Amino acid sequence: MSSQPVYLDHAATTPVDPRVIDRMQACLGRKGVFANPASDSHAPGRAAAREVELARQALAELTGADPRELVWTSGATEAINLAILGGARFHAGRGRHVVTSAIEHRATLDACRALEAEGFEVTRVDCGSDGRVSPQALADALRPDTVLASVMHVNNETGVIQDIESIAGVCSEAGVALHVDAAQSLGKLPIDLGRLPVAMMSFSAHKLYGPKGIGALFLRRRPRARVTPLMYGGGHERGLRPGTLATHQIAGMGEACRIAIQRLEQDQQHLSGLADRLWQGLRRPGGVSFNGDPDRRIPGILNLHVAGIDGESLVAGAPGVAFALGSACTSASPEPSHVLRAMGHDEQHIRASLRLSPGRFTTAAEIDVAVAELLAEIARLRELSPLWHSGGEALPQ
Amino acid sequence: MSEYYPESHPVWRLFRETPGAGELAEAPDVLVSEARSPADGAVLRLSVQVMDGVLVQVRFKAFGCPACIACGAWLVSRLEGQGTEALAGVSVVALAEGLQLPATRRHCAVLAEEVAHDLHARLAR
Repeated sequence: MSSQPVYLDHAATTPVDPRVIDRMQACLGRKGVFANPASDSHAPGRAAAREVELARQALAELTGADPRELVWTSGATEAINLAILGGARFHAGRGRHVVTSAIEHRATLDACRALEAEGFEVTRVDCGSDGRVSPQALADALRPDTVLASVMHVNNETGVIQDIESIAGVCSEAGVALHVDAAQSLGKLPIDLGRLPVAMMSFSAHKLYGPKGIGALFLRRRPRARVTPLMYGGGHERGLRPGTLATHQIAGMGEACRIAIQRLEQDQQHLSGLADRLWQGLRRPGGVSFNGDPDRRIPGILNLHVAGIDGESLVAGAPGVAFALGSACTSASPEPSHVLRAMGHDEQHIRASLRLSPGRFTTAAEIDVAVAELLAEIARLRELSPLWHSGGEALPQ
Repeated sequence: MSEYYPESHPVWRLFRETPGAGELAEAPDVLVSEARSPADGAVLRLSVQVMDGVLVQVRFKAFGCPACIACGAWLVSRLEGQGTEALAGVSVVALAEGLQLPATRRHCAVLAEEVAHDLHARLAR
């Protein structure tokens, strides 16, 4: 076993690409592009502003947006909050109903809860056992007073891809602004905001081999998506997100986007190969299945149910592999995955589920090491488990 | 939330080594008890073979977190070779202290106490 665990938790965060680090470092020191991008009275300030705009162009190119439609934020969580809280508050005079799904990231669910405390009504549409939100179910939830809908593009726990095209069509027809959380899909799936009729879309850099602490919100210009700012002071980002721009973070996100533009297809082929290797390896002893639709997911996330074992014991017993139980973002809470629960799974099934997410720098040899260690521990835990027959069938639970 | 146990922690040692893991074959002098945690679905099963009032063999199986598995192994280490009264002496407090269980894992000790007391009650009949 290598001294470093095999890192299979890229859905939680990715290592920063060395080219991104170089670009960021060039913005930090005395001889770099360190000046305040808002200081347009001198050349260093204008150089920093140029770096910020180059990054904005890169994100725009990756997503098919107009650069003027992108607002820098501290990450996807802030972008989601700005879209949901800001969007609902702006349109509160027209209606106070918001629609989302039961399997969203906590950033969305908690922002919606905050809206409820302000007197908004929120409808949470269920997903099917395949982890997909039906566009028809979402359409049925829309009301005349609905001002906003929010659905994620790719689920962070299961990797399942939502039918955003159809959902956007439904919302567009009803005149409801749609926000899409694209934290898990940026640079992993083609996104063309020139064609896709969504009003707002949230992005993060750190799922894309960029730095933590930077993200962006897409706000469509025509028809114009409107939000009330969450913060005030300084007028940066057209008054929507004030505060001195973090040039190095933005430059890092821009570089991550440039690399993603070049590598999107190559990355997906690489991840498909690794995911298949993982799946073929782990399914060998039997009793292993996908959580969510295996045919409609990004290749970088495998959410697997391993019958007869407890995920927490697998994590402890296989320290040479770094992986997640449910979502890393909810693991600070002892509650079981709300996503798997919404898909109809019980507590025991959820406890026997794990998320494996290889990345751009993961090698086939590392996958083999991880599979060997996981299989050995799965076999040991099954031997210990009263829920597992030696014949390979899980006992009724 | 996963607990992290350093290698010196008693839970870690018993989780890794699992002394007494297994199941006793069905026999007239073998009793089995199983408890399930409603909170998280953990399951602990204890099998004992009793001869002349002595627990001559004890084995456990467990589905759950490392603390749950360690509780099973702890039961075996404390009970095998003892008189059946030792079953009544199993307590959540003793397990929690012996295994230095975090407060969030006391329900695993509850499972261990349940199976031990159930076996004791059935043997006393």
